[in-house]
Amino acid sequence: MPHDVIMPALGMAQDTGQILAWHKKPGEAVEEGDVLFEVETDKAAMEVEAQSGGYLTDVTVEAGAEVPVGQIIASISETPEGEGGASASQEPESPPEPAPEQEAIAGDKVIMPALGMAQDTGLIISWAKRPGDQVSADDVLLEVETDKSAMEVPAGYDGYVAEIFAEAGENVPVGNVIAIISARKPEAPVKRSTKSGQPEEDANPKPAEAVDATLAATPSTSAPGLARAIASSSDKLLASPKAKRLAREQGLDLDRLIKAGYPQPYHVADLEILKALPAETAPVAAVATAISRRVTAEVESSELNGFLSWLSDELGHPVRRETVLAVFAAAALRTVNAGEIVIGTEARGVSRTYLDPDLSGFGQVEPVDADRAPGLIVRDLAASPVTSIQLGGEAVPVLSVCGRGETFSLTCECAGDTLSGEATLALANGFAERVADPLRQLL
Amino acid sequence: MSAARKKHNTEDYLRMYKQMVRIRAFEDKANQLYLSAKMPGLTHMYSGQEAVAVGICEALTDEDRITSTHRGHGHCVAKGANFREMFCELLGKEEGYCRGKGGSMHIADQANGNLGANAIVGGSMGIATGAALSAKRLGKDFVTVCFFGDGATAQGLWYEVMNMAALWKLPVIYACENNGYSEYTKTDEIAAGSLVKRAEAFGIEAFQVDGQDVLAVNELTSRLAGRCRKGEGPFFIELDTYRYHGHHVGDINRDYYRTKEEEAEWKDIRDPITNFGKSLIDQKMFTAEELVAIDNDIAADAEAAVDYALKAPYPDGSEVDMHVFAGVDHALDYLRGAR
Amino acid sequence: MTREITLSKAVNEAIAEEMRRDPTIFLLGEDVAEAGTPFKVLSGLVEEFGTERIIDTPISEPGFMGMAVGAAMTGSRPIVDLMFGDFLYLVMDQLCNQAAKTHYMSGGKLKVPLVLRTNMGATRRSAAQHSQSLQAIVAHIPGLKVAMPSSAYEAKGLLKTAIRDDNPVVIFEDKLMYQDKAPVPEEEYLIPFGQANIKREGRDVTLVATSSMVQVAEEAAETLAREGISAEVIDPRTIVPLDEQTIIDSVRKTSRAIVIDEGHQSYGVTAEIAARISEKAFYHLDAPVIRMGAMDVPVPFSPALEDLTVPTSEGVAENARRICRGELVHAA
Repeated sequence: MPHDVIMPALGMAQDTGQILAWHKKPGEAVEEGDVLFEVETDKAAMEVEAQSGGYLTDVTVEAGAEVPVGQIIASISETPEGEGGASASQEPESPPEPAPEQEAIAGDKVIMPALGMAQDTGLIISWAKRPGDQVSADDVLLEVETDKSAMEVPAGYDGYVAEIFAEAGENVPVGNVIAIISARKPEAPVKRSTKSGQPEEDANPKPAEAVDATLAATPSTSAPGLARAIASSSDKLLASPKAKRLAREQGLDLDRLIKAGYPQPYHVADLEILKALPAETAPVAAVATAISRRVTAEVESSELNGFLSWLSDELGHPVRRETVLAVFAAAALRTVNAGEIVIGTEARGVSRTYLDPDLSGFGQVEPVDADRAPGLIVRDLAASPVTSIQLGGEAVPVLSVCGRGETFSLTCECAGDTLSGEATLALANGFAERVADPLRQLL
Repeated sequence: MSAARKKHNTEDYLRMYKQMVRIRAFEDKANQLYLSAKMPGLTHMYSGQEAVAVGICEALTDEDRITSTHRGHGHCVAKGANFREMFCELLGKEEGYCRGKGGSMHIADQANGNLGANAIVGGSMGIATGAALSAKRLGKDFVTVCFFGDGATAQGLWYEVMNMAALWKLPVIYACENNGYSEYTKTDEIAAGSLVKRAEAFGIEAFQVDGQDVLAVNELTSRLAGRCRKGEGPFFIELDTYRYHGHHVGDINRDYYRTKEEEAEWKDIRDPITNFGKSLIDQKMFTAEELVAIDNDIAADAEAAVDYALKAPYPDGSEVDMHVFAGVDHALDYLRGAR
Repeated sequence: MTREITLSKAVNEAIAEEMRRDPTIFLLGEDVAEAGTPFKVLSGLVEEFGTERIIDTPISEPGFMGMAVGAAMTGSRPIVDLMFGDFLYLVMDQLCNQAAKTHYMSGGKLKVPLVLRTNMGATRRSAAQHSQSLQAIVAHIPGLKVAMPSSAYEAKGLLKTAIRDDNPVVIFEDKLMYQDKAPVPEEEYLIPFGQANIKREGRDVTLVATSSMVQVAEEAAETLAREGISAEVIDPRTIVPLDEQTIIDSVRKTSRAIVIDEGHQSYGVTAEIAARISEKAFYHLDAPVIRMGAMDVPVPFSPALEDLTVPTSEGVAENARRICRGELVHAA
């Protein structure tokens, strides 16, 4: 078996060594302990001895060359011809174990994340890092546009951007590999576009990876409604974290305290003062439009799942979850909103529309033509890795269902001018109660 | 010499010879691993001092304890450790003696009584003396040998624990391996007066012995260990020896503190393995060929252990917060108050 | 049956009971035998257990600390008596480089079951080298557990748990509390590590306090109660491990927290607990988390100066009032 001759680590903080001279020629016999070559390190020239006897072969580096520590520079073989009979001057058939720097780029794969909506591709707006850049897991790697908003996607791993597979402007399917983060600085970082060679990720990306990517994705503007509410008249609002949180949850605008002349900072107790402020006329409407209401609830998933299988058995055909959710949403909305109710559902990329689904039996609920504009949208994300939603108010109220293990996490969001705070709460509550206890709907 | 006595000696001598060769083979491989950039971190070579570790450890039982130093591979091998687990530890692998958490400077081998190498110079002097206190208090008859270098004699801790060991007649042997250099400095420049007299000042019987003569070391240690068991400890031994390599494997250019001629002289004239091998041949216990065969077998063992260790897996990342506390699986949860 | 005994007596009982139970336990330190330590905490133990198990050492703190580590690694369960907490600096290598890391460095092979008993606390007019409260320094080191009893009851229960633990444990007794009495059961009991004690329930502000600062916090809570402010007092009892959940739950309820410990304030125990509250109860905070530690100066000798350096119940009450009134204590 041939022995590798390796550029040794000689000094304490030395990365490379320069070969001053070879003391043996390719094909020449050597004994263990013979001086093979001379190396210059930090300050001095050192002689390097053969670690075993044989013939010096496969010399890949000439005198004068600067070689990274650890790199194989020759072999000591049992025959003068070297491994496989190739003469020393020829390229060996199978190249020697490459030095670490020359390895094929390996690393962690960054995939196009599922950014929360029923979305199957993402448009790359821009890359925040270039191939070869060093990145931390939290660094923004790229910006992606999905249905409604631009999202910043963090790198997810510490390391170096080794390869980028898609250019800005390209639309990439969710789950596809868009970059490689390597632990070591790549010698030759690569940038290509999907057209020039997109390595397919496994047909079924590991759920854990997908979840990580999704969790890590953060909207580039968080809760736009809230941001506007706070920043409108003052560039700095001093309030305790709890006061801010409660104000947000209750749709209260702390700015009004400033306008009313109350001194900052604000605490929870000041929210009572805020609630007692006389209603404004025009400005109130503006605030109401600007703010965005969000109510979240958590219920056990077992009841709904059990109900679905029971119902499917009962009716003799599978019942879609979003159909049942549409019924519940309509029933909940009816408590605050009389008249005709059009519910839009979005689940796994498919949109459907239902007209007054709560007024017919479960067996009869069927989608209608999509030309009816929905007054309420139900998004079923329970099959996706998304765990939490905060997108701000949209044209109509949105009920989102996320699922994780034993729990459904329900979110009701709406713009301030679509439903009052009280109505939002009633809608969210009514929906959550029905999901938690579906039988109630039948009774 | 009676036949029985001679046979006994032959077995003992063969074992001592093999153990010294094993240490040398281990260190040669460790040095190669470092030079070829396959080993993380640095390591301190024991080559040249083999007769000290082997002479002493061959005089001890498995129950007897040792504490070791940053230059500790020799003690570890001499006390009975295996190549595989040692190389795995050097390379940070899961199968290492310390599951890759200690590395070269912290190998501990509890099963063979090795309480561990120590990366603080002189850091194990208290531990060794405490082990001796344990033996005395618990009525156990194990002896503890505290290995340390000449550099460690400059640590105050030694004088504190020698004082207590002498006061309480503890079964501990302080074994000072004087290899002539305290890191990159001649011992003469860091040690005033006589090391032996320092121990004697505490009323401790002190000895000086040729650390390149494995039989002399072994004979003295056997005698002192026996006396320790009879309650006559503690003892101090200064062993004159020499390290062939620099302070550590990266200490290559060392002309400024010692000459190549000096190194060559120790290697050519006073090598403990060569000299002991010659005496075995001279006494016709073994032939030169037999010894070469032994050397080759051991070199092959070391080679196989290195190959095994290079391929062995690293510990799983989940081990990072294990073994912080005994009885606690994962420290981070525990520290947050998880029950 | 419960009787009132001093903290000193509680420590003495804990050691005696454990030594009767387990012959591998011994105690070593300076003037621990006939003298029973300068604080007389150990009086009577040598009479029962003899000088073989209650061992007077020379004044060699690193030496006997290191020996305890070696003894612990070889089948003994030593208790080290370090006369003053300030001497921790003398034993740092043996405690932090050896005892704390041995189990980890050996991949779990070696254990170091030892207890280091020492003390803390200022206002004994002992000046800068006999008055420090250095718990933060050892709590910083992975591998050490740190207990801080706040009364005779905790002192006994925590010490017994420490002696039975297979790891190095450092216990800080407040030297000003040795003569303080508290109800202690006659029956055997242990206090598990990592379980905080809610000394007093309240709704407006959480006072997290260690050791003698628990008394300070309770006094402040009394004062505040008369003013209509309801303070919850939590004694973590061990700072490593720390019962985070009890503290976080309390702060989520009260929305305000003051953390009090007698170590220096900067980079200290109060800073660590305050940081964890800020991280885990941020959206429940209605006021900044306040740290109250010893002033960042060496402990002065003069009573007129020394008394200025430690947290007081008046100071705690005043800070509590301010944050409950909604004043930002350090508003720009």
